[in-house]
Amino acid sequence: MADVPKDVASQVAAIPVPLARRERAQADRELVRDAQKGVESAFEELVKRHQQKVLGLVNSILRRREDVEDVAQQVFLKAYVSLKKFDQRAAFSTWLYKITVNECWDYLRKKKVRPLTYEADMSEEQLSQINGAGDEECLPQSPEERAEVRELLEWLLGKLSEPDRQLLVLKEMEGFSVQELAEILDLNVNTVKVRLFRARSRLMDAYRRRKLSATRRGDAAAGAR
Amino acid sequence: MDWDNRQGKCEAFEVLMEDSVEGTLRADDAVRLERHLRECADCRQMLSEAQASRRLLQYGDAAPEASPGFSRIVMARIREAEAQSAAGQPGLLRSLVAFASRLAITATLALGVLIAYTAVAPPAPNSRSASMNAEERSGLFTDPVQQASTRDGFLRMVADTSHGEK
Repeated sequence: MADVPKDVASQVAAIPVPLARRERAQADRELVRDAQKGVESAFEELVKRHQQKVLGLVNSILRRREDVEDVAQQVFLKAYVSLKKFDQRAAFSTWLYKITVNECWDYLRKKKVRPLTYEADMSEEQLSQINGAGDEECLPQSPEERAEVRELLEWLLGKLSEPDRQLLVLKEMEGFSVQELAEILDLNVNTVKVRLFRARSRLMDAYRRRKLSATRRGDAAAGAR
Repeated sequence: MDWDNRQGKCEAFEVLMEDSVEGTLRADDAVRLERHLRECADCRQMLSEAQASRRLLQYGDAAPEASPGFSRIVMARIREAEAQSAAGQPGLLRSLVAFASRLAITATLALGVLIAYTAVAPPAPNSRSASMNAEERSGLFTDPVQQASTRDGFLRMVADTSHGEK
């Protein structure tokens, strides 16, 4: 019989209860109401609750530029200015993340920068050291190996389209949920899942191609000796 | 293998496979997916790779932690913006308004001077620009009143060498 991945074969995962999310949203609603009445500490609390997600979102779009924190501050400033008009029909987080995305695009437009692309190839040594990173039982343990895998990952992400890269970064590195991504991107939850799955597939496709190319280069080098 | 080139029933399982990668697959869906995976080697490979991608992505760096004073800095910027707004308009707008008022004052003064001048000064004699006299007008367009209506009148006009000077 065909080899069914064991994760699926044994998996009957419980659906996560979205209670914590609902509670967070409710707490946000109360803080927004207070902030709209002019309670400064309420807005500061909202900043504290959402600053890391906003930074993550800015970081994923601007790609670790030095202005990440400055843009994130600007996002909260804009949110504060527009807060009185916010009618709470959407969750505060969704509204804030949309401001964040717009602010990032404004920033990129003003700076006239395009998202970075990774053009440089990696050395054969680097690739041969790290080409087991995606394999099931070959996870690197030493700090050096982990650094190499990180470098490979950055390179692979650079090979993806911007939407694919951002989706994977937001989901897997910045900890956004599928639901949150759907709200930010104005997409259906299932559409986000399909896009995520395909982005994963393209990432691994790029990885496979790198691995193959490194193997060929290794063979060629061995043949030359 | 490329998802973009795949079609048909496998696409229907993409959502379930993503749920499986996420660990949020429901029991009944797990049964459906497992049944499909038994028959579809492509999907088995795709799922296996998607799971590997998740492990790989765990090595990525998340955004750096916000600096300890982040929220304080935000609130300070808000207070600064509010203070500016309370003092009037923001910088650029304020300077534009100041420039416009200076322009308006200058224009009013200039208009006042012009009105005073025209009221006090006597009209300029033989002003060429203000109006043309009758002789000048006749040089351009023939005055129908002065046109000769008889033969004698016409001859007198031709013989007249004064050129309009009386």
